[in-house]
Amino acid sequence: MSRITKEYRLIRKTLASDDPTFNPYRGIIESLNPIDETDLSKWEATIYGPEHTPYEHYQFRMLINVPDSYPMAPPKIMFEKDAILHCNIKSVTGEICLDILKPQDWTPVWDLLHCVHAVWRLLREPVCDSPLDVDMGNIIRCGDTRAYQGIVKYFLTERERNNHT
Amino acid sequence: MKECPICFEGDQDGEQFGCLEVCRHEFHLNCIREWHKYSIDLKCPICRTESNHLKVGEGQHAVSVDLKMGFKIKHALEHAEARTSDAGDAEEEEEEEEEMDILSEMFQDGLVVDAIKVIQCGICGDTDAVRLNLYCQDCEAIYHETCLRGLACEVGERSAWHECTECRSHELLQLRMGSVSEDQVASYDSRDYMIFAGEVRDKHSVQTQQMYDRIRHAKHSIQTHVRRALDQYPLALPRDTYKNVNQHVSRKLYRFSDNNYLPNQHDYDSLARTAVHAELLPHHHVDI
Repeated sequence: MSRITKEYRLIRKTLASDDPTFNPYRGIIESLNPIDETDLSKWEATIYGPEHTPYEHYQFRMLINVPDSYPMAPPKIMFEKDAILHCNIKSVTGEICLDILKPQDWTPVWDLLHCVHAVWRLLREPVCDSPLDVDMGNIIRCGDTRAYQGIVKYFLTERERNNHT
Repeated sequence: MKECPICFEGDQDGEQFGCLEVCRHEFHLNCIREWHKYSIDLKCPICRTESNHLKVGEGQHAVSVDLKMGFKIKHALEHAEARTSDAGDAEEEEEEEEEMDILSEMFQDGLVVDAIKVIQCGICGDTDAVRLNLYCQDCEAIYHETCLRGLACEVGERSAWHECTECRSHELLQLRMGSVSEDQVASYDSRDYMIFAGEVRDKHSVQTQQMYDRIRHAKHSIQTHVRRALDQYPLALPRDTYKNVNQHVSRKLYRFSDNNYLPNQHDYDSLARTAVHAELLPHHHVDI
């Protein structure tokens, strides 16, 4: 059985559990599924915005591409286009800059749950040293957290409004 | 039941486990070897502790697999690959593949190996480019200063550490990595890079070209002085002696003025004269 098949079973079992000792991802990962059950190379995941951040109360969907060489090569994770604002995310494409997803920092003992969790943590702790969104990175670098959060909040409210109309 | 952290499988298929020497984390032998084809270093996938050996088997049947050698070869091959793909981006994939085949053949014949120099300490074999700080001007061997000092202490000649262990030369210079980025540094291709005046340099860069020109000029100017001193020498010199002494003294003066030509600071004529005379003394040419 290939590793990704094995992982699929594990993910289903983990996320189905309500017990926090078996499912440490409660309140973090809403879902993590292959888009088509017969093709385990394309997945989608939905995470909850972390508490005490402007992302709280929103959900974010991402697309995961699992290469043939997985787990030797890292999975590719993208947010939906124009769905999030963050200094390590390129909003227009949804591209994410996260060290553990780069080939030089990736290790094969991590699985998809780890990766999605790491992206969730990135929402909580932006890394302004390697910004994909330079403007947002600069705001944090100036130390103006309130402005940063305000802009994110405004962006998300707008997003919600556009979704409804 | 034991489970391999890479493939999440146990040992039901008779897969052999191996354990990393330093941190003792266990993986399927095939899985960890496969990972090293992708990884950029030999750090443990779990704890990032570096291990150069993998222990396979138990007790007296245990075998220690050397991971470093294969890894070095992989690195060198990758470097060669990068070269070919850089050479022609627009090339058809097939052609590239063909080229790769030729390259790996060359590699087996040792042609590419000659061109690719691994940057590692000549004593401890470490390849941590950041800490490698000395190189031998004569044979291009590279060392940690600490290793040289340690070795000298071990043989009981504490003060005699400043000597290349390969060729016994005392011309050890500071090594700087120059314009080469760090990931390139673990090895360099001697067709494109060289160590010159203590720096790993791109042979084709403008800076190197300018330095070449400057050095050529300095060498030429210094040689003029030495030639003059030799011409003024009271005895006729055999052709060979003339050539050898010229070479020797020029090099000496050149090093003396730190690879530069500084006519305002040094009187090259008198320096050359003294050096030429000193050089010719053992040849019994002197009776002035």
